[in-house]
Amino acid sequence: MVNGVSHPVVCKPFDTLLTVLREDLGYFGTKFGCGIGYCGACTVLIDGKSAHSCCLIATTMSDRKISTIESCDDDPVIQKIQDQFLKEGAIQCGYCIPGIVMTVRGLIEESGQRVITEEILRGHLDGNICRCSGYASIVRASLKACVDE
Amino acid sequence: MKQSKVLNPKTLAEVLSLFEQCGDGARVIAGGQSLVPMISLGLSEPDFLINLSSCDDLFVIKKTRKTINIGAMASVSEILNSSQVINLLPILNFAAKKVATPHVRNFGTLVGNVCHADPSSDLIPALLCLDAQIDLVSKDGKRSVLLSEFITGPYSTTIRGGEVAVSVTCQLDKQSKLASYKKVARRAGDLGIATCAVSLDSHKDCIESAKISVGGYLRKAIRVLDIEKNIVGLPAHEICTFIDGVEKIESIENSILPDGSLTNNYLSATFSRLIRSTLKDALSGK
Ligand SMILES: Cc1cc2nc3c(=O)[nH]c(=O)nc-3n(C[C@H](O)[C@H](O)[C@H](O)COP(=O)(O)OP(=O)(O)OC[C@H]3O[C@@H](n4cnc5c(N)ncnc54)[C@H](O)[C@@H]3O)c2cc1C
Ligand code: FES
Ligand code: FES
Repeated sequence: MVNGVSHPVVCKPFDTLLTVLREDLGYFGTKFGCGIGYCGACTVLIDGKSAHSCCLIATTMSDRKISTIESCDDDPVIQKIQDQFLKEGAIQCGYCIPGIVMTVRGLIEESGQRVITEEILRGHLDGNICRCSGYASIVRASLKACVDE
Repeated sequence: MKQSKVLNPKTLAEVLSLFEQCGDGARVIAGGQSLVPMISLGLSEPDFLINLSSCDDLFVIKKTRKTINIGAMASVSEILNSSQVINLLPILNFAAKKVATPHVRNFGTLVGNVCHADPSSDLIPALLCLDAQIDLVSKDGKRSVLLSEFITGPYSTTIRGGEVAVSVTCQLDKQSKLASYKKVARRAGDLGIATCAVSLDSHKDCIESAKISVGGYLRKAIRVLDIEKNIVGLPAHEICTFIDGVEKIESIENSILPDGSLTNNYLSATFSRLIRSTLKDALSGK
């Protein structure tokens, strides 16, 4: 189930979730960066938890709830994160941003009522690389979005 | 054309019978956080993946009177959230915090981490301090092996064909009062260049027992027995001076895995400094 919609897919047995999302289902918001779990560009949420979709085999995910950046239309929390990124000018080339937004979304979901400090946020973003290196504004925007929630 | 397939057994009995049917080309997949990148890079080419994520029994973290038993599908995040691990095995909790990034921790399992046997694993040094053992099952029966014997070198273990690891068992009486875990890595979330777990007991400023394990750019994670035995009996405040005075830590020198980018001298010095500061943190309760 991707973003609330069930998709029957025929794919190769060891295709990664990232490959299936992009090449079979057309969810191009989820990016390919390194393909081996190091950059975070391919981050999606699986049952609310952040995951590298390049490190999961698609056929093992058939009974899971997968959320990609395209779920923003129905998710006001993602929209708030995106607004803060725009306000802070936290987007340069934009390639890493869907992954970072989904990681922050996952953190908000996981934290429930707990306060998200800058230290917690930075720890959570350890797995997301921004090649344009706009980390200061990314952290500022993400923190504002977390505090808002 | 090569046939490949993902199989989704629901019970351990089904896992074992699939191993029999599939033969040598079968590989267990737990969280997939090491195996999937290896397949993507062409470093592993299994015919069949036996996926453990539908085996509900393997997700459990169980406490008995003397042990904590961590099931094969318990993720690193679940270990971090386990009050039993936090309270009873703090050294494992400290090490789990340093594993990779939240994305990897959400799916990567402790048992998968041990089976992968990366010398830079954060969890293995902590488990060595706890004298942990891995519990293996095959159609021929069960066996449990100390991690120090299970892991034989970089990415190699004594696991046999048709065998599946069902859990890692930690003895509660091996947990000392003072513990610390530290690592040196290029950036947060990376596998360590050097990692160190320390578990100590002291009485009236005197070290009563000590366990020190290291991992990183070594053939495999090891206990530093030559330092351990020499610090027992020392006053706690003399430990750092003692380490500074050790010219070469033989056990580490014999295990260093040469790396093109870092010299052996750099690695030796890094391990010495890391052991010193991890001991210091353990003594100060950090
Ligand atoms: C980007 C990145 C950074 C990382 N950084 C760190 C780090 O800093 N510290 C660290 O400790 N680790 C790190 N890792 C490794 C990660 O923690 C391990 O990959 C993970 O814990 C392995 O568990 P898994 O469940 O994903 O195993 P899998 O990937 O599913 O399997 C790994 C291997 O173990 C075998 N296996 C798994 N379970 C069993 C079983 N029950 N019985 C028999 N064989 C089994 C598989 O066949 C395979 O060979 C990193 C990984 C990535 C991708
Ligand atoms: S593409 Fe998945 S982490 Fe880089
Ligand atoms: S904005 Fe370019 S990679 Fe992050």
